[in-house]
Amino acid sequence: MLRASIDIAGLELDLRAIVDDQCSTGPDGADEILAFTRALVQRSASLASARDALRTTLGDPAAAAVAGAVGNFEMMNRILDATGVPTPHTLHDLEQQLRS
Amino acid sequence: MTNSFIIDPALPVRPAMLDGMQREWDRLAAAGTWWTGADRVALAAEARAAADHRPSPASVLAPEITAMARRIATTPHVIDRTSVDALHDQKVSLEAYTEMVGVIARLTAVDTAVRGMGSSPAPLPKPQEGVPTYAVVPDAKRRSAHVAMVGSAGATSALSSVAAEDSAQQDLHGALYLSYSEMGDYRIVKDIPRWQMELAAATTSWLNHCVY
Repeated sequence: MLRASIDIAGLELDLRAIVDDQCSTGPDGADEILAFTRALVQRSASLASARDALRTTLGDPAAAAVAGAVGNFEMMNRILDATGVPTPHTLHDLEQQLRS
Repeated sequence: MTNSFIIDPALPVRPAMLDGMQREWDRLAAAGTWWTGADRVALAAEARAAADHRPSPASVLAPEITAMARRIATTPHVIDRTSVDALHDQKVSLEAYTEMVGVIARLTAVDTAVRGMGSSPAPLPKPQEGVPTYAVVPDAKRRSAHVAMVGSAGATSALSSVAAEDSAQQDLHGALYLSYSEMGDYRIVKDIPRWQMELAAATTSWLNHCVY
């Protein structure tokens, strides 16, 4: 869904930035979304400054919208893993990488 | 509508998001399908304590249930079918386990969203009186997943063996992110464009070791 929505938006985005915090993604606001999401999920002390940076870059409503999306996927990740929904075959390589 | 969530007024939050979180708080306090309101709030308290790296609070729940609640909250990716079966052997049905998953997953969602908005998690609601419905979903079958589901296993059927939990997931999903009917719209903007939502989603899943 990320790839499809990026393509439709006509953007170039380096997805390595999701797994490598030394890598910059490209479009305006993407790095701030990544930093805020990491701080929120990892309960980092940098959360307040990451939120401020997100609000400055994308506007005040963006912080709540990103917080909601992160919250939703904290929910979905737990539901999928704890109920044992099988991983699609197309994602098995990624699964091995994540589980190692 | 009473609102349990105090958010910085300088941070605009969609009213539908706040309303959705409040509906979840009301659901949490009420008797569910297999657990009472007191049980559900105790599960939430245990999950929150685990996420905060605190010891178990005083609880009405059995030790094997509190242990599983903590795993759902903090390390769901290591839960396997054997551990679900072990809980089943302790007289916790697959459907009751499914409800545990739903309650804890939604608590985590709301607490995360609220922290992201710069506020402290709301106090847990006071449990309401009432008895569980014990409503069975006859079409749910256990196949390749750890629990029974209606039809193919997937994101929107994971809790389908407990209809109220399935509905609650759908409700909060729509409030915090996108409704199921909005999922096919890659051009949608809800305060931010779809690609920005998906970037946050993919990063969260990566950090949680969730492949899906």
